[in-house]
Formats: sequence, C-alpha cells, structure tokens
Amino acid sequence: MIEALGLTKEFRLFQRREGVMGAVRDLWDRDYQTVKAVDQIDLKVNRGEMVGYIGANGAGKSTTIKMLSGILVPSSGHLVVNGFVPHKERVEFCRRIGVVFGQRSQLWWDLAVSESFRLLSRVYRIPESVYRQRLDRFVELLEMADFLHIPVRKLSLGQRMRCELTAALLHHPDLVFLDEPTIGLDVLAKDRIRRFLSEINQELGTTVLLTTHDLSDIEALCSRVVMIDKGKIVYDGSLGKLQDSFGQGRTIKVDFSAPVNLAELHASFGHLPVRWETPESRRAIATFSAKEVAPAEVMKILIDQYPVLDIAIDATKIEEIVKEIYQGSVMV
Amino acid sequence: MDREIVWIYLQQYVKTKLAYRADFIIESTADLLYQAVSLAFVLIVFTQVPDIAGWTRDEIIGIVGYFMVPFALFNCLFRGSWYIRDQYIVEGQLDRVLIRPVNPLLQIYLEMIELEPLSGAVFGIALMGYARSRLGIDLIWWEPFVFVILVAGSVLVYGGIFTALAATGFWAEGRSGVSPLIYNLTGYGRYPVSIYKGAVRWVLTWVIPFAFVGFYPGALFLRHDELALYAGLTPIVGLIIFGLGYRYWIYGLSRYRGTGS
Repeated sequence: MIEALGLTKEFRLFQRREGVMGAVRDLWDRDYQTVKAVDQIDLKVNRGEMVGYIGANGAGKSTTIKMLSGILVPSSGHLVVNGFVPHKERVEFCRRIGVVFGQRSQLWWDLAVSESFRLLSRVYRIPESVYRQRLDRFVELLEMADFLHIPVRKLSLGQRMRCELTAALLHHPDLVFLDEPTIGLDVLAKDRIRRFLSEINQELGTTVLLTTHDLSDIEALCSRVVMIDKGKIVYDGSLGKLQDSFGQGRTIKVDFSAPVNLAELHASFGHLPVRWETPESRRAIATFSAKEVAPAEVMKILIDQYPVLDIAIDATKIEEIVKEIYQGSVMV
Repeated sequence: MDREIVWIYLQQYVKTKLAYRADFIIESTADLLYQAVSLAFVLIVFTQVPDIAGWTRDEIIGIVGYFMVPFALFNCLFRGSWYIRDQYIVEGQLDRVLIRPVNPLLQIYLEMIELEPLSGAVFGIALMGYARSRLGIDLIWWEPFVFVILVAGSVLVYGGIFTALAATGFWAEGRSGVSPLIYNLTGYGRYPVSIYKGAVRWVLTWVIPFAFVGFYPGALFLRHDELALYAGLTPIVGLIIFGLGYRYWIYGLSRYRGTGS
C-alpha cells in the first residue's frame, strides 16, 4: 500500500540577521541553512494494516504524512502509495485516500455538517443511494444525529472530529492518514473514535496510518508502531516490544515535609537501579524501569524511611521514550 | 475540466449568499461606487482639456467602459488570487485543497468566487453604449460575439498575471508582496497606451500586457480600425499569459512547504 525508499525532505531555512543593519544586509546576502525534516526513511505498509506513527514534536511526522498524501513533493527518494506517485497523479490519487488533520478542519466552516457531507459526496462522485446508506451508518456509529444540522464552526472539538472522520471516510478510501485524530479530546470521545476506526478497518480493510501523542491510541488500534526522531526512523516493530523496552519507565515525584539530600536517597536505594534527582530541597524525582524495580517497593522504602507529604507516579511519555532511544540509554 | 464540480461549488456559493442578502447588496453598491469614482476622475480631467493624445472624452469613456467588464469578471472569477499567498500558502490552507480530487487552482478560484463585482460589468456595458451612441456608432451583428471573445481574452490576461503573482508566495517568506504594486499597474490598461512614452507603451503591450485588458479591445468597439490587429491578438495573448501563469503556479506548487504541523 505504501512503499517508500530513501524518502527525504529538505527545507532551506532563511536565517534572518538581527537588527536594522542585519535586515538591510539580508537584502543581498542571504544566509540559508538546509534542514532535513525527513532523512532517508524506508517504510513499507501493507494493505489493511493499522500503523501508529509516533515521534516528538518536530521529529518529521507531519512532513512524512504530507509527502505520503501528496501535499509535499519529496526532495529525493522513491515513493509509491496505493499504486500512485502521490504528488504527480494528485487528482486520481486523492480519490482513493482520506486525510484528517486534527489541527485543521477539512469541512466548510459556515455550512451545516450535513451540507458539507453532501458536497463531499458529490466531489467524490458517490452515487446518491450509496451515499445515503453510508452516511446513515456513520451517523449511527459515531452518534452524530444530534448535530447534523449545525454549522461546523459551532461544533465542539469532539463533535467536529467525528465529522472530520466521516468526511475522510465517506468515499471509502483504500488508505487514510490520521494526523492527531484524538488531540484535545476527553477519554470518552477518544474511545468512541477508536472503536469507530477499528470497525472501519475490519469491515472495509482500510489501511490506516495514524500519528498521535497518545500511546493509548496506539495500544487500542495498532499492532505496529513506527517511531521517527530527527527525521530518521528509530523503531519499526510491534507495540508489545516497544512497551517492554521503554513503556516500563516510571517516574515518582515525592514531596517531603523536611529537606532531604541526594546522597542519603541514593544510599537508601543503593541496592536498586533507581536514579534520583532533587530539583528542590524538599522534592525528589526518581526514575527507574518497572521491569527491574517494582514501583510499590520504591514507595514502601520512601514511606518507611522519609517524612513523605505527597507522591505522584507517572509512566514514561512518548517524548521521553524517544529521547531515551535517541540518547542511546535504551537499546532497541 | 470538471464541469460538474464547477456547478456544485456555484450552487453552494449561491446558498451561502442567500443567507447574507444584505451583505450582497452593500458589497455590490460599494463596488459600483468604486467604479464611479474612477470614471469621475476621467470626466474631471476632460473639463480641463478637449482631448488626450487625440482621444476624446467619449472615446475614453468607451474604453473605460470596456475595461470595466473584464475587470469585473476577473474580480468575480479570480478573486482567489488575492488570497492565495496569505491564506493558502502562508497559513497552509492549501493542505486541505491538495487532498481533494479536484485541480487545486480551480478549487481555490471556485471557493473564492464572488458575484458582487458583476455590477461593474453592467455599468461598463452601459458606459460603452453611452459612448457609442454619442459617437454615432451603430451595433453590427457580429459585435456581441467578438465582444464575448475579447472579454474572455482580457480576463485571461489578468487571470494569468495574478495567478503568477500569487505563485511567488511559494518562494517568499511571510506575507505581503508585490501584488499591491501590480494592482496599481492594472489601472494603466484602461487608458489609451498611446498617451504613454515608447518604453511604457511597449511594456504594457508585450511584457505586462495590460493594454489588452482595456485599450486595444476597447478601441475596436469605437471603430479604431488601425488597432484592430492588436484587438484581434487579445484572445491569443490571453491564452499565452494564462498558460504561462498556470505553468508558473504548477512549478511553485512543487516547492510548497506547508506549515509547521
């Protein structure tokens, strides 16, 4: 479905000089810097797969998606998506794909939701009876009946996102790109969208490439995860393995009623692989892997030996995982 | 081209417009006023002089009248060209356009269509009628047909130039650019180029051919047959300019970089 080899996108950034004199100099002597947003990536996605594409902000996720969907022209590399070179055969290519950008609406702002859908059904040349049938199904699955006649601009974020998904899937594309489809949504709304996506994938065999900041999206939907950092793919494999390797990271933040010192903490936990930091005299942060140390054990020692006021425990976020991989502190 | 798509977008436009009828009337009136002011300027000049480079007041009115027709159609059909740089390229709305199965430029122009400027075309035709009756010119049967073809050519000249200008947004950083400068130049097309010195005249004919938007074709309908050859070139110049502008747009599109996220 997707076949990318050595896919690269470079941007030339214009470095502005400071001050008025700098601005004047910029007129004739421009300073450019070339940045590789996506650097020689190889990616193969099969028909019907649901792939989570993750990475920190600015890692190159969006740039990749935009190349795959034909919006950006690659600087170099080989790319075939659904049998097309996306940017070259754009109109035909677009007929068979769907795209959702969480941050930007695909719908007509001033039109009622149902009008937007009707317009799209005609743009994609969906026969009337088929369109009716599909829309009814989507309305039912995503529970949209209540706001079909409201202009898009008046919808809540969660409602809008359901409409965006419908808009991207009404023409039953072979492949959908979803860029942050659950951003800013509450747990309930996220869950509804996830169930909808997995149902569509099962029923129609739609290939899905999904970027997200929320690992639980991927847990719910994707068997495969691709991670990008600084324009390069740093992980491509199953979610299970990724979680075993990095998802076990925990941080515990402790507030004490009296000042503690770092040496003392390290001494108390000397027998365990726990790393301590003390950003303030009465606060300490521990990082460790849940595979090596049971979080309960750490908490027990703390409560037994220290004047603890408050404890907060967190699982490692994607950003931190990516950072760890990149710094080489965790091996894949 | 996709005729059905054009129809779909137009229907949608009319629907939205009907919801804001008051705006429609206000904007049409404003447009008309703008045209009236530029005409008034011409009339004031002629209270001081009998002719400009051999062109009388009525002839100038006739040419200004012709100019108003393609100008109005341009503002109606190609209004999007004013917004391509800021809204579509810099703000990244082009992302949305590029993932739909319709020619991107056609989508933008259709989305941005505005019917209010058409009042200017009606006004322009009325002015031509007035000028021609003052000059004692009768209607010949082929004139309406030639008029349509020449107007189409003139609109394409504008459309091509402004499409190319919009496409410069693919190279530039940030907003604003040369468009205001060129917009000021558009006014030159509505006066006889013979009043300009050699170089300016040459530029307006062969480089930025605004003379084909007003003067040359307009003169044909005032029976200035010595300019008929130029007038006849209008559709060809229009096709060439629009073709070049479109090619430049396509070239620019390959350099589109989108926005951050």
